[in-house]
Amino acid sequence: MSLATTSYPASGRRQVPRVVRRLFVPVLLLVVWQVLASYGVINRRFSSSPVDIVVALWRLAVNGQLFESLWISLVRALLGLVLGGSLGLLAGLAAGLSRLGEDALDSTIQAIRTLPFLGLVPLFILWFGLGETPRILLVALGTFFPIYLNVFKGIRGVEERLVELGQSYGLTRWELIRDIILPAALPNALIGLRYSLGIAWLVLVIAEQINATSGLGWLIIKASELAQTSVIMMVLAVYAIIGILADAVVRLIETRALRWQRSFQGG
Amino acid sequence: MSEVLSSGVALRNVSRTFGDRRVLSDIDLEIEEGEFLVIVGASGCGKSTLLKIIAGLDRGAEGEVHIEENRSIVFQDARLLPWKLVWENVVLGLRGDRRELRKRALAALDEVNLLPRADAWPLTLSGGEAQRVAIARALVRTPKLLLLDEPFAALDALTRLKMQQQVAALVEQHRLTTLFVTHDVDEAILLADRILLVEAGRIARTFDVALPRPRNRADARFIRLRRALLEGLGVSEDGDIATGEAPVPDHVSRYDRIAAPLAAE
Repeated sequence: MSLATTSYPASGRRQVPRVVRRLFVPVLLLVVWQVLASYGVINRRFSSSPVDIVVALWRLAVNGQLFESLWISLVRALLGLVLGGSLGLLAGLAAGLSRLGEDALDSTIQAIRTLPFLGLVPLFILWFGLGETPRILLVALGTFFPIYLNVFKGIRGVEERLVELGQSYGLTRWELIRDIILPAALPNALIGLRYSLGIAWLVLVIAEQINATSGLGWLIIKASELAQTSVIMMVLAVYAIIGILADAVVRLIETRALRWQRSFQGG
Repeated sequence: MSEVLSSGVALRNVSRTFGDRRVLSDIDLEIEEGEFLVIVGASGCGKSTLLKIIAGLDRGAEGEVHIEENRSIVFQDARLLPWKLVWENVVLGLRGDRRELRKRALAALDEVNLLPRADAWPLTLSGGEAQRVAIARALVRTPKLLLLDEPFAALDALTRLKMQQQVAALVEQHRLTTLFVTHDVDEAILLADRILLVEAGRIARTFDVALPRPRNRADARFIRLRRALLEGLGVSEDGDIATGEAPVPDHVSRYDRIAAPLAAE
């Protein structure tokens, strides 16, 4: 009977909220950083300070440069993602749904995938000039592969027993694709989308630092020419925040589109 | 040929080989209209392959095969599509007005006492509930032939008993021709009009079950039939099996698992 007594964590007394516990270390690091910078322990030429970064953020936000650059970068990322993503989706569907499509596409795509596509930057500039085209195409190329691979894998991973079910209940080929194969492949496709978003952003960092006259990457290059460390670090922080937001958007899509899974995962 | 089809299913001299492994040979089988036929056999005897042929899921058999076009099947696993609501699963593959389909689905779910779960996601169902949805899905299209492939094998003993009664009642009520595959001898005797014993890819014996329904496991004829079937399956009927109890070793081990932590205290 004595086993029945269970000890619960003491409630109320000296219980630090979780948010505070989790924020403690990052805030401490920022404070230490600021103190070291203020007392000149850290060379300002190499590293800025948190306050300077906020000041830079404020300055570029007020004069509009930050939002203009951010907007241009976002549009490029989105255009590239839409182009590469939809092509990846189409190719993934074609290769996943038919042997003919697989034989025609898969080996070629796998071969191209092994190219380090960031190494193509000079070629793309040579081919497509200095305008928006090479940047957007580079993002498209980078986002194509994760979507293609995951859609293909998702479709091929559909359980044989569910396909058998569809066949024995008289589903047409189209109904089989719509009701069984595509929903079953969706979780994988969304994983591909998540990877793609990360890659789109990464590609832009590179693509915008070459011969650019606008965008976040250009902001970094300009700041580095003027030795404005605080601006460089501020843009890096903006990159990180956008990355987090993009991930949150896909997660939101996932919980909406995969709500049938939610009760199963149990919070 | 039309005469053959009217009685549902007819196989003549059918065999099935995978590579050089012969899984079925010389199968002659006919299912009469309204009959409840049970195929019993140990695992690996070919009974599932036989069902697949009759379900049209295996087209590689040699011999003369006539199968009923208007059939539906219940698999061992419920095979519900997790991304469709329960009622949508029930009317999978049926075409027509959505509201009309929903009405049909609800009626079918009502028959298996699952009306309250119509708008649930399948992953929230218990094993027994999921299998009842699968049965509703099979019944909603008013099949001429109902195929069940070890449908209760994955369920716990209590649920299995309830489901057996429910299926017996539904089949009787709808006057369905039914083919039921199982390795559970009691289940076979409870449900069947006729039992085929499959052994090493052949129909080894046929038993006509003339017992009145509902059937009683304690009935002397029931016990005699079970003994004969088990003998046919190569299981000794001495001791625990004939009493209708679960085999003793299983009991003991389960008991041990519960008892062990208590003893440790």
